[in-house]
Amino acid sequence: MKPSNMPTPLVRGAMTVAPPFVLARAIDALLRKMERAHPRLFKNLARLKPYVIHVEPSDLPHRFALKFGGDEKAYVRLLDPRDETPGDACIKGDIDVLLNLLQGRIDGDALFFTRGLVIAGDTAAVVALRNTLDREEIDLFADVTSMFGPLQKPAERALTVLGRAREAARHRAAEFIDSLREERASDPAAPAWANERDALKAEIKTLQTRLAKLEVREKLAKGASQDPAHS
Amino acid sequence: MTQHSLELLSPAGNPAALKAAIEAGADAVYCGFADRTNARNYPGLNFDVDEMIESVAYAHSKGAKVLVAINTFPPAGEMKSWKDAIDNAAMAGADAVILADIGVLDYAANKHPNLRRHLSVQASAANPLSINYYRDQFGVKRVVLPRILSVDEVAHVAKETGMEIEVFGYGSVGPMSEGRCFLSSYMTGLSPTSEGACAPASHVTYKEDGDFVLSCLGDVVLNRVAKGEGAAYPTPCKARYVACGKAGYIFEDPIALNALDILSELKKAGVTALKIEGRQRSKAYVAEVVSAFRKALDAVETGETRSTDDLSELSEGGRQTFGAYKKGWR
Repeated sequence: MKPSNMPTPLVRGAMTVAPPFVLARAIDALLRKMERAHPRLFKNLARLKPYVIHVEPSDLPHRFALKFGGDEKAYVRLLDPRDETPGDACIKGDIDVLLNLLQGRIDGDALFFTRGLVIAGDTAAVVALRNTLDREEIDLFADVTSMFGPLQKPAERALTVLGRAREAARHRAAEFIDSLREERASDPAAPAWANERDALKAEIKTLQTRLAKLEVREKLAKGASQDPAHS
Repeated sequence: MTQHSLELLSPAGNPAALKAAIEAGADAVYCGFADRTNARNYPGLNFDVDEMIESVAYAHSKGAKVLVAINTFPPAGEMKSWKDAIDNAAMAGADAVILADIGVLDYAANKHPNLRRHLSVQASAANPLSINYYRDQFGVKRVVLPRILSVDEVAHVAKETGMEIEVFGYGSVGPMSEGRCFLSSYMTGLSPTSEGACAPASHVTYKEDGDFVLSCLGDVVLNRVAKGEGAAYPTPCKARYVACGKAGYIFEDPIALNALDILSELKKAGVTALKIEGRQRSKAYVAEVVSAFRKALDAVETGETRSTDDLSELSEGGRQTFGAYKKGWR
């Protein structure tokens, strides 16, 4: 399986700041593109029982409704924040998890075991969707960039560079904030309690790490007492 | 195809997974038709007849085999789907069919005597007397052993039957009498052995309850899983029951069987083929697990010592065991 070139942080950033009507238009355009690129997928989705699944990326301010089945063309709709009509089922997870799942690059059951993916409602709807998507070889990045027509390759390069630049900028910003914190900590004008607070924070973090390790060891010890094989 | 003394058998829930399995190094792939004739009858899963024909041709072009699971039990008066499945598997050029019901075995043996017959784990044949019966009556060439035998017991069966032996290398621990478990039928009203699904998706629901998730089968709450706790499939055998005032996994823990580190022992015991469970899992799972087993099997063949890949992230409950192979459980 080819690794994904999708600059997910860039996608997440763009989806966060895009006004709803722009996002809705972009989704429509991508759906039309995918319909042309994956006609079998849309045929298979239409064959299923009719369902509406709400998709809720946990790190985005938007929710989506995916309608498919009942011999009708599948479509995705941006949900109005005030719309509380329930779907048949709901899928929640980080946007990169959801995009990777859509492209069949990660295993949904493994995500379920670790609760990286939370589903609610009619499980048959979710299982039918997952199994139908898994039949296809979907490369969302290629589908998006192919919308640029003959400029697909330059667009791929530009988006990749933009994604990397965004990550680098984020990294630099984080470093800058850290340096400001350090500066403030060593500033004699900073409040007297600031150093103590930071020291306590560090101590709490160390204790939390130690506690987590002890819990893992306890779990392993319990597992070993029930099953000497391995865990 | 490179010949390996232990055949690596991969699951495939759809043609894309079949391709992923073969690309990752599977020697053979098992799959089923999109109906209740196989034990993984889930919506959107499995192959129609055209897909089966194309997939068998693709596998053969890559030197791999395709085994078709027709391993559920037909209800009285409803044999047609099972007969059609056998006929279609033969027509598609499948290398073998994996069967459990004696009527279906008899039909296949008489109608398609040249179509290789394997005995499914669903037949729950776990001793030489039983296995030899299937061999002598229906010309079965290979038996898939239930996951209740230790490595020594597997060796005993191999020696006493002289049959090809297939065992599970990765998947559920499955310590029940497979093909004879009706626990879920009390909660769904559907027979898992005739409908092809132990916990049909149509009867499974998940509900959020604060930081917990409730998994339910029919009207019964099977489990309440806390944040950070490994979750299990929503089957009654993996439910958490309250006994003597204490909630716990009475039948089966949420844990995966993983035989990666005992492949040479299984080979020495006379095992012919190593089966990976998971036709309902994604092609990403298939590619990763098959690839890990391919590397480990190749290392066994060359006598190379190497650490095996970590599959814990793909494992049910995030934990792994040797299961009955090393019988260490309570």
